[in-house]
Amino acid sequence: MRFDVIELDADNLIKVRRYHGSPRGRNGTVQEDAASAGEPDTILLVAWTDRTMRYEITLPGKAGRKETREILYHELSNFLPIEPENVQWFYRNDGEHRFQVCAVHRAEIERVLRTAAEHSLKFDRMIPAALAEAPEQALRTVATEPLPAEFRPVRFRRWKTAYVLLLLLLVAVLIPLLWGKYRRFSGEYQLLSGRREMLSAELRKQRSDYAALSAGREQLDAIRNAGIGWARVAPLLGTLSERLPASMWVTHLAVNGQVADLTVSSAEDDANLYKTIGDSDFHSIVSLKKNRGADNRILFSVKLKGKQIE
Amino acid sequence: MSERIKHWIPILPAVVLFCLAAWLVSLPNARLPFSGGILEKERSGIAASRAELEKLRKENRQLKEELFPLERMRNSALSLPPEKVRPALMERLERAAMESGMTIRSISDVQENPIASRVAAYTLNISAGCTINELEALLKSFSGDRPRLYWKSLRVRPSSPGTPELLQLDGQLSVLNFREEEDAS
Repeated sequence: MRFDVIELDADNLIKVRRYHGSPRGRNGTVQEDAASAGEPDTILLVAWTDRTMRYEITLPGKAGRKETREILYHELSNFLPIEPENVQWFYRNDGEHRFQVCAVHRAEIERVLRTAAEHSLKFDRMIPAALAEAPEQALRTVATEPLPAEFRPVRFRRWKTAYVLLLLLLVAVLIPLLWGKYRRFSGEYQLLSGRREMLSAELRKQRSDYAALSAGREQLDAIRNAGIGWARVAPLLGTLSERLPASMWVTHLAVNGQVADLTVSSAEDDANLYKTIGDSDFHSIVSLKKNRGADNRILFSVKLKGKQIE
Repeated sequence: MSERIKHWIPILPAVVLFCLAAWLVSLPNARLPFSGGILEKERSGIAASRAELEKLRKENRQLKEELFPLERMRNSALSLPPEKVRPALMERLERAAMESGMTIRSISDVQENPIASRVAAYTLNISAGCTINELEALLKSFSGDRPRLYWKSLRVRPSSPGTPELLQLDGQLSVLNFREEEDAS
């Protein structure tokens, strides 16, 4: 990897060195490479600071990154002659659980950042010079607080510009496409809504008709239940007068609602009278009984059931 | 949020837009997301309305056919305020008796029997003597002229064994009165 180290000394003099090499492991080697061109992978600001304390802390065993940081902060708090909130601290792992910890007063940090701002310096990490005697050590040093965003270098500017332009182009293409689809959906939806509204209006009318007709049906049922509307007497008698032979005549008629009782008198027997009377549009025969009267006449008692014609 | 995820956030809009564009280009006839469901809901609503409408139309046609008798009854019935029904019924009965030539022996009071909403039957008992021809004329008059009179019960028998041509008629007559909708004004 390639990296730049901006050195800021006590007199605020700035010197930039470029290095390349492998930072992996604590024994990684880097070499100065002034001839290298192009953007570096990372930029470190190594600043000389006043009011700085450095300690070496050895942990008893291996711990996770978060736990290590918490232990180191706790140990540092014990060593510091001032409140730990007044310092910004950095550490470097030197291996075998040995850590170099450095605390810098916040006023010093602010001074360095002011100077960096004055010189428009852009860098990824600020490291106190007390912890970075060599560029490899500077690379391994960890800052526990994030750097303000305005000091960070802007990388891949062209790619970013191209990204934004392509994004805008994509949006410009997508909007008409989406709008077209929305118009299509909207037209279809309005058409269906119109049809549904029309059907709803027709449904309301049919329901209203149904209610009126149902009320009429209830009226008709009530009228029929009251015994009105059954077969009329005149057509019934007309049918009987057509069908009965001349030797027979009706001597008694009683109609009660749907049922009619007749007495037919005859001089002679007629075995086919049941069939002769039969059914018509106005009645159906229910029963027929035969008796012989005192004067030897045959009396047929006929029960008819009137059909509902109204 | 982890530092790794934070680095990917700036390209999220591009990924979303790219996916959208890929979808639009690869499926030009595809609908907008969720719009298919909305249209399908409308379509199913229309189908349900059509089915219900068809069912209602069929039921209404059937009911209309069933109600033809009611229409005939209505057309041949009275349509008067209640206080005018009794005189109209008496007048109708006397006219029929006079036309047929029969002799009415007795007529009872007219009874009002409400049947349904706005429909009432007015009933009276009648006793008369007649010949077969007079009876025929009377029956024809009852069923032919307006308002039509219905026999709820009827009994016809010879007046006496010695005079079979003379008939004794006892019956109960009804006339229907359909009251029209009262005008709110």
